Amino acid sequence: MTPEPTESGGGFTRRSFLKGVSAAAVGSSAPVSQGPSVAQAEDAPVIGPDPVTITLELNGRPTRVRVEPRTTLLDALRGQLAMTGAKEVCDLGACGACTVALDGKPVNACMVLALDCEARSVLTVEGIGTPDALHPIQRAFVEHDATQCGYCTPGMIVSAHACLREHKNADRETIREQLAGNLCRCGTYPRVISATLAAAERMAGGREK
Amino acid sequence: MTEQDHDTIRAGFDGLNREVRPRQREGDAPPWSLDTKYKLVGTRIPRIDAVAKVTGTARYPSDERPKGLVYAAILRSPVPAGTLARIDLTKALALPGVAGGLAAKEVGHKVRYQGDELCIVAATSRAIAEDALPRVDFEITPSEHDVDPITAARETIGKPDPLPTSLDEVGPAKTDQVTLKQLYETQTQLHHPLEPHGVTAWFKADGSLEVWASTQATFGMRTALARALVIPQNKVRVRTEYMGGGFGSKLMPGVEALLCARLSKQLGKPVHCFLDRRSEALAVGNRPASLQLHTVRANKDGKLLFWGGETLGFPGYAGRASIATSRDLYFESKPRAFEHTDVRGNTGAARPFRAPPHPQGFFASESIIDEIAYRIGKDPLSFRIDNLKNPLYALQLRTGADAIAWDARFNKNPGRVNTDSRELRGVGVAITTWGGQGGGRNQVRCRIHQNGRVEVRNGAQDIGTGTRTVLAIVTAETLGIPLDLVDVYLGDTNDPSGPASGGSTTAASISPTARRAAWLAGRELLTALAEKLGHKVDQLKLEPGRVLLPDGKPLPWKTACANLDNEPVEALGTRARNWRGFSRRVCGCQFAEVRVDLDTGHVGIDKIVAVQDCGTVVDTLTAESQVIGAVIQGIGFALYEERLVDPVLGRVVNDDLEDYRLPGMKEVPEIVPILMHGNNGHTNTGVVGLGEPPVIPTAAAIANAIRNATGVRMHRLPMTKARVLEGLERMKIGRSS
Repeated sequence: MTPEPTESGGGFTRRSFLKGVSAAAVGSSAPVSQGPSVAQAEDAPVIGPDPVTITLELNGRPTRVRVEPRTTLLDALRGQLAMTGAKEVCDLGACGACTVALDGKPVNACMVLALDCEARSVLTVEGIGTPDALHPIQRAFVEHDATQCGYCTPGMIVSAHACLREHKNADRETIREQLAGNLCRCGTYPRVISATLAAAERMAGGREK
Repeated sequence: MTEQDHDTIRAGFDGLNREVRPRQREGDAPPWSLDTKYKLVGTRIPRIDAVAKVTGTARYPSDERPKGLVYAAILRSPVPAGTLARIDLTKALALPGVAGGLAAKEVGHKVRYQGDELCIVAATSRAIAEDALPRVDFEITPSEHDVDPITAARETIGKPDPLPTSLDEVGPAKTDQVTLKQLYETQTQLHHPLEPHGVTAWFKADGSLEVWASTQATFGMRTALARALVIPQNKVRVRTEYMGGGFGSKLMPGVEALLCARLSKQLGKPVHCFLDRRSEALAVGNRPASLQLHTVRANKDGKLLFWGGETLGFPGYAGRASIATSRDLYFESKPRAFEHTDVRGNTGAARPFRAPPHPQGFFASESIIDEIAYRIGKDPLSFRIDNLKNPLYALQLRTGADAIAWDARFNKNPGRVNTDSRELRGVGVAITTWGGQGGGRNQVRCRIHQNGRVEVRNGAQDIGTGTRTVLAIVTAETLGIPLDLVDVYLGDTNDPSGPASGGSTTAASISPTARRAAWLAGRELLTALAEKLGHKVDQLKLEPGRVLLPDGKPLPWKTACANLDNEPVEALGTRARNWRGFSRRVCGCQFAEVRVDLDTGHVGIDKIVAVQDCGTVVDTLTAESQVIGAVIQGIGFALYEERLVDPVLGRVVNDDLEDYRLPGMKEVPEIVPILMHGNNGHTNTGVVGLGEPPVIPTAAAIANAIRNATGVRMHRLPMTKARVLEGLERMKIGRSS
């Protein structure tokens, strides 16, 4: 699909927004509208190339996906690639529910363009462990009841995984700091911390990798 | 079936219990009691669906991607009040990739708040659907709006005073009495479940509708959709295997679900409609703000003489506010002593939000009761112990006081600043109550298979509380088999009917049904075995993990099941009525220990102790998680969360998760859940709900701890740094000069 130029296509335009503002502010009868005023820009030149195919390494496997330039990594994962572990919650990089590891570093997949992942490695919760072969962090989350509704959990797991890669002997404070970007509305935080701590101890003990 | 009296059972708690007489239907499973020795119930069992959640394999409704799917986006009113003068989707529908759309309002309809739905558009990608929205040609003739009725109400509440008559009844104040009149205010809090509201709806060629819904009420959703599409309920299948939180806001089907289903019917394609975060802030409910003017009188001996006042709720353009306080827990008689009015405005409508409308009422009532204790020179803990009518409170308050070390931590000189520290410390306490007895009409199907596995089915949803795990434990305990032999299937309206998950009633409502179903299925197994082996059924006995044959020989569970012919045995359990158990209410209390920074107004919470009862604790591990999570939501309500609306523009200012502050990992203190293991004795499981009561007292416990630290009484939520600093300034506490 051809993306629209932002001036004519982007939600409430500055113009209609300001119109709405003044109308509401004075409570006058000036109408709040959109439509005719933005329609004239329709024959403006099209900006942006057509969808392109990129190749990235997804959970260890070379993967091809066709994306528009504006498609985020999160949309590509959840949409085209049907990899729905990462969740969309805030679409703003504020909650961490879509956390994946890009070349080993945790990122908010809603803030990364899929195009920018060409030839890079992406690790999602699905790549960390499977029901038959749980990663020690996942096992600790199960044992400590670090999930409730579970919607923040994939992001928490990826963040905890990245945290323990970087801080082999992470203590409570480090974990708290490193996972502070992941929001949970059910209130699993204390158990996420104790689970991650338990996993760190297990992994450092060399009993499990 | 006839009800019959059974022998009495012991119900309540160790240290506080009594005999109750079960009234059960014939053939029901014997009721559990305080004297039951369990194998699984009450232990610490990881939830059985945790593996799916930690691996990303759990499928949430927003994850479903049926073939041919189109994605919808909703256009919302940018203004809070007006009349729709024009709406035309032609240009939007002409955009390549757009599959279709529907207006949500007709010309002439009122716009009632910013975010009111105007139309829905679906396209091959959500980006295209969002591109189409600005092409919708519409016009709203604005009208005057009021998005901030609370500002005016602050000036008028209590005028005229609704109290004089009732206060006169207790006579003029005497010299040994203290009368306190205080105004409290609570903010509008947003639910913000992480999974947005929405459905994927698929109207099929055969006239049936299949829907994956993020809902707290699969059957309620089914009824609403059947009505909206004018098709029979049995043509609608709602599925909610997992869902990402609701907290009350997903009890009712929203406009988005109905629009999505109608659009799917029009297109004959599955339509995915999940809201963006901004819509979550505007259009899917909130805990309504309140103003509460309380008057309390007590004498210096610590006896409460009067408590009444006027309360106002601000539910927005629709919905209900109302207020529930702790007042009645302190009085034997319950005269009506609060006048309540809901005041509407042009903002999104209130919806039930975890323990409505208790957290706001308990913030005020547990604050003023605390303050009056200080004013008459009593310790606020012993004042509560002396005045609360339910003896369970005394037990719980003493338990919690020990855990927080009340005697050592209680600040005997609130507000006195030491020269070596710019921080003051204190502790506070508040109580809670709730019902959550469960009931209704629901059914659970239990099948025992040849391979020894047991299948449990109910159509209700697990909203993250652990319902699936509770049913597995109850079934395994009833049949005396290992937990890993039980498979529980929830969240499909093609299975037997189940309750909405609201009011902390799900576990209390379906655990007795699951126990009955398992019990009856066990009887069916014996019947089948008796036939097969040539015994009489009453010669066989089901014992934990085995069947006892007439000759005393045990047949292990799996061997017994292997004797079944091709068909599994199964039973449908139906919900029996509750009988009178130990108590109709649960009790609880919370203690907070805080540090207040005198220079910044920052409130640091060191510890929260939460004592709670819920009848039988089926799974201690997941029950504790419920309590911890409730406390954290209570902390958000107390210190951070507040929907802000610009009074002139009429728009929500903090409509995303960057500007609306949820408590995060760093804001969470040590939380100590203390569950009172008991059995309420009102059903065959004695389970009472737990999700809501522990969210109620947290804000008051924190406010009371701030009072104990600084001498400053906080009257308004959230207790931000600025407001704490104002309070310190008002009392001239901790001035450096």
